[in-house]
Amino acid sequence: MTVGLPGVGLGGIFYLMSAVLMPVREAARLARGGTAGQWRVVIRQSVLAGAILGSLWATGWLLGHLITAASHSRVGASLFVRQGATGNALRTSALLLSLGTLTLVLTTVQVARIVVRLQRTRERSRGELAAPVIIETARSLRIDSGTFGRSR
Amino acid sequence: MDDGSDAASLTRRPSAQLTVLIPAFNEAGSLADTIRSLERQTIRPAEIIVIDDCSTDATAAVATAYGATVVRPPKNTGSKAGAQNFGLSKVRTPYTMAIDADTTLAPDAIEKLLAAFADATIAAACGFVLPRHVRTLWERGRYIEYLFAFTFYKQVQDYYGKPLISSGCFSAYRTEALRAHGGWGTRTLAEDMDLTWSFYQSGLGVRFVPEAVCYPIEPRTFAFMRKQLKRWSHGFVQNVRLHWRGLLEVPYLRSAVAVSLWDATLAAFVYLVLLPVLAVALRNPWLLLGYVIDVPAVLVPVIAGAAPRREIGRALLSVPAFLVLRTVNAVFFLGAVWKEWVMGQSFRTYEKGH
Repeated sequence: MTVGLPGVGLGGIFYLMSAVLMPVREAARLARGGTAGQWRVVIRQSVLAGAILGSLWATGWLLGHLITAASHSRVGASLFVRQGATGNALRTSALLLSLGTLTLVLTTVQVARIVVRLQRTRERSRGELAAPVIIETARSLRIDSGTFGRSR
Repeated sequence: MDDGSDAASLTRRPSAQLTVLIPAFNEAGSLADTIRSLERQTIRPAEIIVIDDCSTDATAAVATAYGATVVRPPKNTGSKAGAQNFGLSKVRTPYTMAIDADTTLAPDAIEKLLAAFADATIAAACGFVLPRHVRTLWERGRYIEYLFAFTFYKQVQDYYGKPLISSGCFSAYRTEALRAHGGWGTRTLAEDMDLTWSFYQSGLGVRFVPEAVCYPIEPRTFAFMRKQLKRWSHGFVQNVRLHWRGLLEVPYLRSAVAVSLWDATLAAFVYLVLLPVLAVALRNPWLLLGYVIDVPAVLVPVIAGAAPRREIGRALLSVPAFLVLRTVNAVFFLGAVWKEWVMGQSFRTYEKGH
């Protein structure tokens, strides 16, 4: 099962970034005295990530040229083409939008994690505070039943 | 044949430790190929159990003819998970493998997959999935989707120790861990995702073994594809709802699920609604390039996956089908989010597709 939009989506950017970070992570692991076990995968995925980044850059470059060329033709009447007259602006804005969205999503996950942890801590501390009450209730029940038992 | 050599004993040893479960409902047409591919493995399983889920065709007869053990629940279990759980009660080996009745394996698939269990913390292992037939639009779309995902996404996930899902069509498990988790859950429509995420939350690991290759029959027609996508999309949404709190404590997986959820909702909305609306409103056809702008990037892992199989031509020819399937996929995921979360209509009917 592939969830969402393979390729174009935020998932693509996420895994691209993950692959780019693999050599850094592996080097850090080695520096900490870990064993060099996964270099084959790291190199393979890094090369793939490099090629994907290269293809994205080339697509952006080609698209920029196409749009610039079109802006000098009749298609250039449209708003988007006038605004995106240079390919560089288009590429930069697409890159910033993608990375910004990814940062937003990953930050949201971290915030959610902190919130849930705080909730759990609060629930736990409430449970600890509530415990003596329960014990007290249980004691009173025992006493009551004892009293009841004796009275019988 | 027992030749007494070390190599032979090494090959024999794991075979006595593995039981294969094949849930089957009216699978007489494809089951023989599946059992035959299991018999041809470099490491043969100790037992092949076909769970005949009250089929009305010759499923049981085919299974028996090919030497498998056939078990039959008193009534149809209603889902693949139900059938697998029925079979799990008969397993006596430390490892259990689940395989779909329409899936065949590369001859060394089991051997490669079992190697992952050398690490005692690993509870499940899954392999590389490729459609057995690549003929129709839907099969071609799936072919590119799998080549892309299993060559790139899944290998990155595995490096970070968190494959998103141990695919239900071909996975092996430690029987003890499987039983400790109650087998395959019937609470969602994606029992494999439910189990994988449960393992992670218990501190157990899952591995993706790209060398272990399986070949399922993918939906040939839209009618079958619709059933499968409906099940997968609703299953994903149901699992996010069920596990989200626990997932927040699982590094990397929490991020992978979050971006998947984003792609299934907002990105799908942009893709299906915003792009065409903006293109019309701004009278700018250039915006429609958004549908194909990433094709060169998609082609990189696709060609890397197809080249060793000498299938580059087939892969290039299949790319347009992938774009169609991706659009349909987005429709189903967006629909599932809408129905499950907004309308509160949880889809529970297990519709058998492929």
